[in-house]
Amino acid sequence: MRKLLAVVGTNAKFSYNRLLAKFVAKHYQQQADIEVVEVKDLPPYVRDNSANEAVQIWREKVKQADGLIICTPEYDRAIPAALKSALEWLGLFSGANVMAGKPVMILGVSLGMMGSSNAQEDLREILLSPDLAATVLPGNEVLISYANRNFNQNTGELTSPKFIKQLDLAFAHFLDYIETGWRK
Amino acid sequence: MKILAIAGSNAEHSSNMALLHFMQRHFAKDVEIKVRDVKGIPMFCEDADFPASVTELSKQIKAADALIFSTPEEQNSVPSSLKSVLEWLSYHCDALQGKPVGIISASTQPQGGVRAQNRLRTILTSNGLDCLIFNGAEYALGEADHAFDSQGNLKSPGSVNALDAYLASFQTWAQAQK
Repeated sequence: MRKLLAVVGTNAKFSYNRLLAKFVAKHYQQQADIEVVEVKDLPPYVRDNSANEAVQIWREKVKQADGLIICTPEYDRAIPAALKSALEWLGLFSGANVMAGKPVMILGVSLGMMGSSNAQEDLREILLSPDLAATVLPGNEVLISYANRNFNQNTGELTSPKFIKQLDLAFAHFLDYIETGWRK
Repeated sequence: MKILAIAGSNAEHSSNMALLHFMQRHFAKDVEIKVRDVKGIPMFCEDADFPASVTELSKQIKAADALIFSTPEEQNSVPSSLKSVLEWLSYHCDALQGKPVGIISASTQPQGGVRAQNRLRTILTSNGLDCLIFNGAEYALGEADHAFDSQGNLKSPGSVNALDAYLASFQTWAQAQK
């Protein structure tokens, strides 16, 4: 069974993207071993600073994983700085270089109608930069809008049949992509 | 005119700071440029209290007639150090509202960080920031690690000319926004 990370792309206490990461880990537990990971406890990336223990653990988890599923909110038409900082710790320039060739699937939830589309575009560009050089699943966009009516407010689970169907298809494609599209 | 020039770097040695310090000296006769970076500003978090360092920055922004961001480029985009500051400024803060803003960059890469400029331009159009963005000229300093002499002056006359043209055009535009 493939080992995947579901990354919560924000440091906010409450986030629908955290609920999505948890949903993905549970919903696909028969198909992959998925661990939900946070970026909120990482220090801000500073070029001159060496990696502390939290950063070393984050790098090691990413290095060992067969793929990443990143759930990003949108802040000011881009990914949150907290997620960007976490990615900067993984890059070639930081000395880690643990993302080269790594398969990544991009997901995102928003409160409004846009479904984090600008943030997903930003994230795709960042992941494809020479510093990270990840292998990003093309197409398969899952842009979950109107979070508070598509998640159950009590259980925190994604309930929209439309979005679950999209997610099922994208996840199946991602597993297939890991097997066939991963070029080190 | 008073310009606040912000380098988007939190690094000890920043070529964007070097560029802004050069501009401060080079244009001293024409315009007052206050220079700062974003070192020491904590990571944006929507649950955290508004930091004193961002309150201080907001005051500096409000006191300036116009702003220039000089952005480094990380992963073909703006560094998290600058993005975090913009998130603070877009959250329970109106310091940038209606403020004339210019975008420049310096990078060790030959392209001079123009892709970070593109992303910064997009971020600055967000509703939470609501500033006025200067589009009339561009300035990007490539191969910045070799661009300055031992006194911190730009070596290439072409680069200086381009910077002169940029600032003249920016000032004219910023004046007209008042």
